[in-house]
Amino acid sequence: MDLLQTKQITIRFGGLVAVDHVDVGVCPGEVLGLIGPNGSGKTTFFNLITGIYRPLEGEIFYKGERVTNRSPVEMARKGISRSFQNSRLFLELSVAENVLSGMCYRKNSGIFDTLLRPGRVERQLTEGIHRAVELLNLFSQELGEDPFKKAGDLPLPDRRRVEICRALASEPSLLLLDEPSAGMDPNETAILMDEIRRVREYQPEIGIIIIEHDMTVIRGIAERVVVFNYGKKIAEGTFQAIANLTEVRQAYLGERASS
Amino acid sequence: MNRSMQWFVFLVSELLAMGFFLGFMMTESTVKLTVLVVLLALGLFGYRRSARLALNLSQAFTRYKLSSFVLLVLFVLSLPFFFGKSPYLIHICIMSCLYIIMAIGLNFCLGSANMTHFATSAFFGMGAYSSALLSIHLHTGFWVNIFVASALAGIFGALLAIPIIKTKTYYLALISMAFGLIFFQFINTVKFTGGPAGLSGVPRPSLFGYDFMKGPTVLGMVLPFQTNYFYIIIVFTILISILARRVMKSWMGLTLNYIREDEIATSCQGITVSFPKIFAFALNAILTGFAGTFYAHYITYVGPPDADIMISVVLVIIVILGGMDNLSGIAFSAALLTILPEKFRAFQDYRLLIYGTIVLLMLLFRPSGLFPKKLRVYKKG
Repeated sequence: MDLLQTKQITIRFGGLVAVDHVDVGVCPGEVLGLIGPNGSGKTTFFNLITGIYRPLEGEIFYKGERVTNRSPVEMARKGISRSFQNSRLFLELSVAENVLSGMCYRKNSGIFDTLLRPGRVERQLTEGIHRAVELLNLFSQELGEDPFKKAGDLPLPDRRRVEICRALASEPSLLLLDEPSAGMDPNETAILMDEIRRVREYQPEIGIIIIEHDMTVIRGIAERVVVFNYGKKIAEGTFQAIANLTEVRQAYLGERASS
Repeated sequence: MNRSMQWFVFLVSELLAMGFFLGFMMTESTVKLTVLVVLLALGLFGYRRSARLALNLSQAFTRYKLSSFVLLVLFVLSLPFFFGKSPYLIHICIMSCLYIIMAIGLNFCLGSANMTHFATSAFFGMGAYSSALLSIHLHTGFWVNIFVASALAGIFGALLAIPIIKTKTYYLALISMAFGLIFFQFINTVKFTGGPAGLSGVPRPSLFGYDFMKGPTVLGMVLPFQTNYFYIIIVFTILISILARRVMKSWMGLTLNYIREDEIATSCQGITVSFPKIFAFALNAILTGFAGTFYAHYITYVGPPDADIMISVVLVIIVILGGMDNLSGIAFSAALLTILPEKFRAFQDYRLLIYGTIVLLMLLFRPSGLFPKKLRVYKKG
């Protein structure tokens, strides 16, 4: 059974059709690569799945359930987690607190505990912080060693790492990564690929959709690739298969139409 | 630094601060006061500039947290004996406490969640007017009103929050300011609230037949009647600070911080954004309404000036000056900005000018306030 399936979803901004009748599905344990030129609707597609935008047409099914028109909060609670293209970390908070945010909605203490039983709340927070540090350790020893550093003080690759950890903290079944390698050098990209593989080892049932411009990442980890152009899905298949398609080469891989 | 050295640093700095406070409060001459203000500014400047000094001080105070707190409380409780001869100084202290409580309230919105709003005056007026109306029409006393009127202000705040939080940043500030002005015009025009004349005859508190108009006599010393109010408000200020600290350190405080940092990322983590915001407004309104209630029963009169929009402006300045989301910093700046204008009555006309200059200088040179917020500390192991 599919983890996520979109059926003909469409969104328009004024006259611009940002996502145009797209069908994309992803299975548990699968890594789906999403590629396409800038402005082809990849991030908009993520915003549709996570409920930030509502589709004008079409349906979204998640684990067999119709989830069209749900809010981002509901989608996150159902198990869809994401990272952002231009890193949206909580910069003024510590690394551990950033990761802790994924566990926040499952807390079981109300306002009376807060006011009258601060010990209980503190215990819960400390437990959460411990889990967060464990998660950080899984990805990078350095982050795990200094989890109370301000997230804003981290260099860019570490920020992306924390963002992936934060997305994983809610134990999602679908992880959406929006250009995780943007601004990284080849060495850092290789480390990132290792980390994504480690996510799959850690949680084998997780489905991942990854938006990337770096073809080494797509070739290295994506089992299936979907190509977007002007909001339309123009191709789907293994990397080898789509890399040989003329349409894809013209739209994205840089081949001129005349040649 | 070793232990005894830290103890020394802690004791000397705390005693120095207390001595400074007493000296400042008891000085009358404007020239001497100016010298003291310059000294304070230099001290703060040095604290901010020298990382070592700041570190040593904060380490010393962290180690002797409880002692410093107890010492401070004892000092504050003994204030009426120092100020026994001038009730005015005790009045200033009471007003400082009220402003501290309001600033703690505003901090939930402005400091924790970065919602700059100017509805504080409406919340204050709501507290003051509802307790006045309650006691005039329903003959409820002070002890009932501090709960009922604060709760009413809280409900009012939550209801106002619903339209307010649909907007952000400047628009949020503007819409809240509009509510503040509407509230002011409303109580100024409507007959029910006494119009421009306000409502007088708000009863003074009573406690087991104790007369609040008569000052207590301690060791043969007759203290002014304000002392009674002073002790009540001190107890409430301490209680409210402790509870506010708990909220700030809890999941709710953390959630408000997430919202301050990034709303979209927060909702994508499965955290509801609107409820915590309304909650912050409600808490803010409860605390401000409480201050209004206390004020009404203390002054025994409420009038439109109690809902003047300037109260909101001053509160925003206090929170920015003290340091967003830093309780002790905010308490410091609330006391500072209440005491300074009172001590410099001669320059009353320039008050707004001075406030404006403070805001400008703070935003230019120290946007994070005198005492910037710190990262939370969690237990290890």
